[in-house]
Amino acid sequence: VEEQREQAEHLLLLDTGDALIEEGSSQSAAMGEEVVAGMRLMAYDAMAIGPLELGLGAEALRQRLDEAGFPMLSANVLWSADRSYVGEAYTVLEAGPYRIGVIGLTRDPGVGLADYVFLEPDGVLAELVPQVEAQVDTVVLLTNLPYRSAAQLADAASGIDLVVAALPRQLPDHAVRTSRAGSLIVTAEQPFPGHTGRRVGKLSVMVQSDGALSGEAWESVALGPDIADDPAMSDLLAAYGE
Amino acid sequence: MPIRTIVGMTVLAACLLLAGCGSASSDSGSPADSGIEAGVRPELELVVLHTNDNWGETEPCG
Repeated sequence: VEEQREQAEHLLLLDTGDALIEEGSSQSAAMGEEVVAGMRLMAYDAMAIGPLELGLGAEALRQRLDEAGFPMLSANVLWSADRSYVGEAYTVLEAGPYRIGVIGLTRDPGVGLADYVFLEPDGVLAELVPQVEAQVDTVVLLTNLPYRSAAQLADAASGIDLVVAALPRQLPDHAVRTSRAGSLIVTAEQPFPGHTGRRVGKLSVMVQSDGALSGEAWESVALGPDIADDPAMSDLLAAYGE
Repeated sequence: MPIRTIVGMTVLAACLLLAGCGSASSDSGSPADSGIEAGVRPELELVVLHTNDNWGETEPCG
Protein backbone atom coordinates (compact mmCIF):
# COMPACT_ATOMS: atom_id res chain seq x y z
CA VAL A 1 0.00 0.00 0.00
CA GLU A 2 2.81 2.39 0.89
CA GLU A 3 4.54 1.63 -2.38
CA GLN A 4 1.40 2.26 -4.38
CA ARG A 5 0.70 5.48 -2.48
CA GLU A 6 4.13 6.74 -3.51
CA GLN A 7 3.75 5.71 -7.14
CA ALA A 8 0.12 6.47 -7.97
CA GLU A 9 -1.20 9.94 -8.69
CA HIS A 10 -4.01 9.07 -6.31
CA LEU A 11 -4.76 5.89 -4.39
CA LEU A 12 -8.01 4.60 -2.93
CA LEU A 13 -7.86 1.72 -0.46
CA LEU A 14 -11.19 -0.06 -0.08
CA ASP A 15 -12.51 -3.21 1.58
CA THR A 16 -15.77 -4.94 0.75
CA GLY A 17 -16.36 -6.21 4.28
CA ASP A 18 -16.55 -9.51 6.13
CA ALA A 19 -13.10 -8.47 7.22
CA LEU A 20 -13.11 -8.35 10.99
CA ILE A 21 -13.81 -11.90 12.09
CA GLU A 22 -13.56 -15.34 10.59
CA GLU A 23 -16.54 -17.16 9.19
CA GLY A 24 -17.52 -20.54 10.54
CA SER A 25 -15.55 -20.42 13.77
CA SER A 26 -15.83 -18.80 17.15
CA GLN A 27 -15.26 -15.10 17.18
CA SER A 28 -11.83 -13.83 18.06
CA ALA A 29 -11.35 -12.65 21.62
CA ALA A 30 -10.62 -9.16 20.36
CA MET A 31 -13.89 -9.12 18.34
CA GLY A 32 -12.19 -7.59 15.32
CA GLU A 33 -10.41 -4.87 17.26
CA GLU A 34 -6.99 -5.89 15.94
CA VAL A 35 -8.20 -5.94 12.33
CA VAL A 36 -9.75 -2.49 12.63
CA ALA A 37 -6.48 -1.25 14.17
CA GLY A 38 -4.55 -2.74 11.26
CA MET A 39 -6.88 -1.22 8.69
CA ARG A 40 -6.60 2.11 10.42
CA LEU A 41 -2.81 1.85 10.32
CA MET A 42 -3.02 1.22 6.56
CA ALA A 43 -5.34 4.23 6.26
CA TYR A 44 -8.21 2.50 4.52
CA ASP A 45 -10.47 5.03 2.81
CA ALA A 46 -13.67 3.04 3.33
CA MET A 47 -15.04 -0.40 4.11
CA ALA A 48 -18.45 -1.94 3.48
CA ILE A 49 -20.12 -3.56 6.46
CA GLY A 50 -20.61 -7.27 5.87
CA PRO A 51 -22.76 -9.91 7.58
CA LEU A 52 -19.78 -11.01 9.67
CA GLU A 53 -19.42 -7.49 11.10
CA LEU A 54 -23.13 -7.51 11.94
CA GLY A 55 -22.59 -10.87 13.63
CA LEU A 56 -20.31 -9.17 16.15
CA GLY A 57 -23.45 -7.93 17.85
CA ALA A 58 -24.52 -4.39 18.55
CA GLU A 59 -22.14 -3.62 21.41
CA ALA A 60 -18.93 -4.85 19.74
CA LEU A 61 -19.89 -3.40 16.36
CA ARG A 62 -20.53 0.02 17.89
CA GLN A 63 -17.05 -0.15 19.44
CA ARG A 64 -15.44 -1.05 16.10
CA LEU A 65 -17.34 1.78 14.37
CA ASP A 66 -16.03 4.22 17.00
CA GLU A 67 -12.46 2.97 16.68
CA ALA A 68 -12.24 2.74 12.92
CA GLY A 69 -11.36 6.30 11.94
CA PHE A 70 -12.47 5.44 8.40
CA PRO A 71 -16.05 5.19 7.13
CA MET A 72 -17.76 1.82 7.53
CA LEU A 73 -20.56 1.84 4.99
CA SER A 74 -23.97 0.30 4.54
CA ALA A 75 -26.92 2.01 2.91
CA ASN A 76 -29.25 -0.95 3.46
CA VAL A 77 -28.80 -1.90 7.12
CA LEU A 78 -30.42 0.04 9.95
CA TRP A 79 -30.41 -0.41 13.69
CA SER A 80 -33.77 -1.99 14.51
CA ALA A 81 -33.99 0.10 17.69
CA ASP A 82 -34.22 3.51 16.02
CA ARG A 83 -33.94 2.76 12.28
CA SER A 84 -30.81 4.87 11.93
CA TYR A 85 -27.95 3.69 9.69
CA VAL A 86 -25.64 1.19 11.37
CA GLY A 87 -22.66 2.85 9.70
CA GLU A 88 -22.82 5.52 7.02
CA ALA A 89 -24.83 5.07 3.83
CA TYR A 90 -22.07 6.64 1.75
CA THR A 91 -18.99 8.78 1.98
CA VAL A 92 -17.41 11.36 -0.31
CA LEU A 93 -13.68 11.09 -0.90
CA GLU A 94 -11.43 13.69 -2.53
CA ALA A 95 -9.16 12.50 -5.34
CA GLY A 96 -7.20 15.46 -6.66
CA PRO A 97 -9.79 17.80 -8.20
CA TYR A 98 -12.43 15.05 -8.24
CA ARG A 99 -15.01 13.99 -5.69
CA ILE A 100 -15.71 10.30 -5.46
CA GLY A 101 -18.86 9.05 -3.75
CA VAL A 102 -18.64 5.57 -2.25
CA ILE A 103 -21.93 3.82 -1.41
CA GLY A 104 -21.91 0.72 0.79
CA LEU A 105 -24.27 -2.23 0.49
CA THR A 106 -24.46 -5.26 2.79
CA ARG A 107 -25.36 -8.83 1.85
CA ASP A 108 -28.36 -10.12 3.77
CA PRO A 109 -27.17 -13.32 5.48
CA GLY A 110 -30.75 -14.58 5.58
CA VAL A 111 -30.61 -15.51 9.25
CA GLY A 112 -32.12 -13.66 12.12
CA LEU A 113 -30.05 -10.72 13.31
CA ALA A 114 -32.46 -9.02 15.67
CA ASP A 115 -30.42 -5.85 16.05
CA TYR A 116 -30.76 -4.91 12.39
CA VAL A 117 -33.30 -4.13 9.69
CA PHE A 118 -32.33 -4.91 6.09
CA LEU A 119 -33.60 -2.80 3.21
CA GLU A 120 -33.86 -4.05 -0.36
CA PRO A 121 -30.67 -2.99 -2.19
CA ASP A 122 -32.40 -2.10 -5.46
CA GLY A 123 -34.81 0.33 -3.79
CA VAL A 124 -31.98 1.85 -1.76
CA LEU A 125 -29.84 2.43 -4.85
CA ALA A 126 -32.72 3.87 -6.88
CA GLU A 127 -33.14 6.54 -4.23
CA LEU A 128 -29.54 7.09 -3.19
CA VAL A 129 -27.54 7.04 -6.44
CA PRO A 130 -29.11 10.23 -7.84
CA GLN A 131 -28.52 11.99 -4.50
CA VAL A 132 -24.87 11.00 -4.42
CA GLU A 133 -24.39 11.62 -8.13
CA ALA A 134 -25.48 15.21 -7.63
CA GLN A 135 -22.64 15.78 -5.14
CA VAL A 136 -19.74 13.99 -6.82
CA ASP A 137 -17.99 13.29 -10.12
CA THR A 138 -17.65 9.52 -9.81
CA VAL A 139 -19.84 6.99 -8.01
CA VAL A 140 -18.45 3.76 -6.53
CA LEU A 141 -20.54 0.90 -5.11
CA LEU A 142 -18.63 -1.00 -2.42
CA THR A 143 -20.35 -4.23 -1.46
CA ASN A 144 -20.05 -7.79 -0.19
CA LEU A 145 -23.01 -8.76 -2.34
CA PRO A 146 -22.17 -11.50 -4.81
CA TYR A 147 -20.44 -10.26 -7.91
CA ARG A 148 -23.31 -11.04 -10.30
CA SER A 149 -25.98 -9.53 -8.05
CA ALA A 150 -23.89 -6.39 -7.67
CA ALA A 151 -23.51 -6.13 -11.45
CA GLN A 152 -27.28 -6.47 -11.94
CA LEU A 153 -27.94 -3.78 -9.33
CA ALA A 154 -25.48 -1.41 -11.01
CA ASP A 155 -27.17 -1.97 -14.36
CA ALA A 156 -30.59 -1.31 -12.87
CA ALA A 157 -29.57 1.78 -10.91
CA SER A 158 -27.42 3.39 -13.60
CA GLY A 159 -25.04 6.22 -12.65
CA ILE A 160 -22.57 3.87 -10.92
CA ASP A 161 -19.10 4.11 -12.42
CA LEU A 162 -17.36 1.35 -10.47
CA VAL A 163 -18.50 -1.67 -8.45
CA VAL A 164 -16.08 -3.23 -6.00
CA ALA A 165 -17.72 -6.53 -5.08
CA ALA A 166 -17.07 -9.87 -3.43
CA LEU A 167 -17.89 -13.54 -3.78
CA PRO A 168 -17.35 -14.21 -7.46
CA ARG A 169 -18.33 -17.59 -8.81
CA GLN A 170 -14.95 -17.67 -10.39
CA LEU A 171 -12.08 -15.28 -10.06
CA PRO A 172 -12.09 -12.91 -13.02
CA ASP A 173 -8.73 -12.03 -14.51
CA HIS A 174 -9.68 -8.58 -15.73
CA ALA A 175 -12.02 -5.69 -14.98
CA VAL A 176 -15.45 -6.29 -16.50
CA ARG A 177 -18.01 -3.79 -17.77
CA THR A 178 -21.64 -4.49 -16.93
CA SER A 179 -23.79 -5.17 -19.95
CA ARG A 180 -26.27 -2.30 -19.79
CA ALA A 181 -24.87 0.63 -17.80
CA GLY A 182 -21.23 -0.14 -18.59
CA SER A 183 -20.16 0.09 -14.93
CA LEU A 184 -16.74 -1.31 -14.17
CA ILE A 185 -16.84 -4.26 -11.77
CA VAL A 186 -13.95 -5.88 -9.92
CA THR A 187 -13.43 -8.29 -7.04
CA ALA A 188 -10.30 -9.16 -5.13
CA GLU A 189 -10.38 -12.87 -4.47
CA GLN A 190 -12.55 -15.91 -3.93
CA PRO A 191 -12.57 -16.59 -0.22
CA PHE A 192 -12.09 -19.96 1.41
CA PRO A 193 -11.91 -20.40 5.17
CA GLY A 194 -8.28 -20.24 6.20
CA HIS A 195 -7.15 -19.21 2.76
CA THR A 196 -8.32 -15.65 2.56
CA GLY A 197 -6.53 -12.35 2.77
CA ARG A 198 -3.85 -13.49 0.37
CA ARG A 199 -4.59 -11.29 -2.61
CA VAL A 200 -5.38 -7.67 -3.23
CA GLY A 201 -7.10 -6.34 -6.33
CA LYS A 202 -5.42 -3.47 -8.12
CA LEU A 203 -7.40 -1.36 -10.55
CA SER A 204 -5.60 1.34 -12.51
CA VAL A 205 -7.94 3.70 -14.30
CA MET A 206 -8.15 7.24 -15.63
CA VAL A 207 -10.72 9.65 -14.24
CA GLN A 208 -11.96 11.78 -17.14
CA SER A 209 -12.83 15.45 -16.74
CA ASP A 210 -16.52 14.49 -16.42
CA GLY A 211 -15.75 11.88 -13.75
CA ALA A 212 -16.19 8.88 -16.05
CA LEU A 213 -13.63 6.09 -15.79
CA SER A 214 -11.66 4.81 -18.78
CA GLY A 215 -8.53 2.94 -19.75
CA GLU A 216 -8.92 0.38 -17.00
CA ALA A 217 -6.34 -2.27 -16.18
CA TRP A 218 -6.83 -4.73 -13.34
CA GLU A 219 -4.79 -7.43 -11.68
CA SER A 220 -5.02 -9.61 -8.62
CA VAL A 221 -1.79 -9.21 -6.68
CA ALA A 222 -0.60 -12.12 -4.52
CA LEU A 223 0.58 -11.08 -1.08
CA GLY A 224 3.66 -13.26 -1.16
CA PRO A 225 6.88 -13.39 0.86
CA ASP A 226 8.53 -11.04 -1.63
CA ILE A 227 6.57 -8.24 0.02
CA ALA A 228 8.43 -7.40 3.21
CA ASP A 229 6.54 -7.12 6.48
CA ASP A 230 5.86 -3.56 7.53
CA PRO A 231 7.56 -2.88 10.89
CA ALA A 232 4.67 -0.81 12.23
CA MET A 233 2.20 -3.56 11.33
CA SER A 234 4.42 -6.20 12.91
CA ASP A 235 4.52 -4.15 16.10
CA LEU A 236 0.75 -3.78 16.07
CA LEU A 237 0.16 -7.50 15.59
CA ALA A 238 2.69 -8.29 18.31
CA ALA A 239 0.73 -6.08 20.68
CA TYR A 240 -2.30 -8.30 20.02
CA GLY A 241 -0.20 -11.42 20.51
CA GLU A 242 -0.40 -12.60 16.91
CA MET B 1 -26.94 72.21 -32.58
CA PRO B 2 -29.59 72.61 -29.93
CA ILE B 3 -28.35 72.57 -26.37
CA ARG B 4 -30.68 69.65 -25.53
CA THR B 5 -29.09 67.53 -28.26
CA ILE B 6 -25.58 68.34 -27.01
CA VAL B 7 -26.56 67.45 -23.44
CA GLY B 8 -28.18 64.22 -24.67
CA MET B 9 -25.10 63.20 -26.65
CA THR B 10 -22.87 63.97 -23.67
CA VAL B 11 -25.00 61.83 -21.35
CA LEU B 12 -25.03 58.98 -23.90
CA ALA B 13 -21.24 59.16 -24.30
CA ALA B 14 -20.79 59.12 -20.52
CA CYS B 15 -23.04 56.08 -20.23
CA LEU B 16 -21.14 54.23 -22.96
CA LEU B 17 -17.85 55.08 -21.28
CA LEU B 18 -19.05 53.86 -17.90
CA ALA B 19 -20.34 50.64 -19.50
CA GLY B 20 -16.93 50.02 -21.01
CA CYS B 21 -18.24 49.99 -24.56
CA GLY B 22 -15.46 50.52 -27.06
CA SER B 23 -12.91 50.84 -24.32
CA ALA B 24 -9.46 49.53 -25.10
CA SER B 25 -9.12 48.46 -21.50
CA SER B 26 -12.05 46.03 -21.48
CA ASP B 27 -11.39 42.52 -20.10
CA SER B 28 -11.38 40.87 -23.53
CA GLY B 29 -8.07 39.25 -22.61
CA SER B 30 -9.47 37.39 -19.60
CA PRO B 31 -9.23 33.57 -19.64
CA ALA B 32 -12.98 33.23 -20.02
CA ASP B 33 -13.02 35.27 -23.21
CA SER B 34 -9.80 34.04 -24.70
CA GLY B 35 -10.98 30.46 -25.04
CA ILE B 36 -8.92 29.10 -22.15
CA GLU B 37 -11.34 26.88 -20.25
CA ALA B 38 -10.24 27.45 -16.68
CA GLY B 39 -12.81 24.95 -15.35
CA VAL B 40 -11.59 21.91 -17.28
CA ARG B 41 -9.82 19.51 -14.98
CA PRO B 42 -6.92 17.35 -16.04
CA GLU B 43 -7.43 13.61 -16.18
CA LEU B 44 -6.42 11.82 -13.00
CA GLU B 45 -4.63 8.50 -12.77
CA LEU B 46 -6.45 6.61 -10.03
CA VAL B 47 -5.32 3.35 -8.46
CA VAL B 48 -7.88 1.43 -6.41
CA LEU B 49 -6.51 -1.26 -4.13
CA HIS B 50 -9.32 -3.43 -2.83
CA THR B 51 -9.58 -6.37 -0.49
CA ASN B 52 -12.29 -8.74 0.63
CA ASP B 53 -12.52 -11.34 3.38
CA ASN B 54 -9.32 -10.17 5.00
CA TRP B 55 -9.44 -12.56 7.87
CA GLY B 56 -7.33 -15.61 7.18
CA GLU B 57 -4.17 -17.30 8.24
CA THR B 58 -1.93 -14.90 10.03
CA GLU B 59 1.28 -16.15 8.44
CA PRO B 60 2.11 -14.01 5.41
CA CYS B 61 1.41 -16.21 2.42
CA GLY B 62 1.66 -19.48 4.42
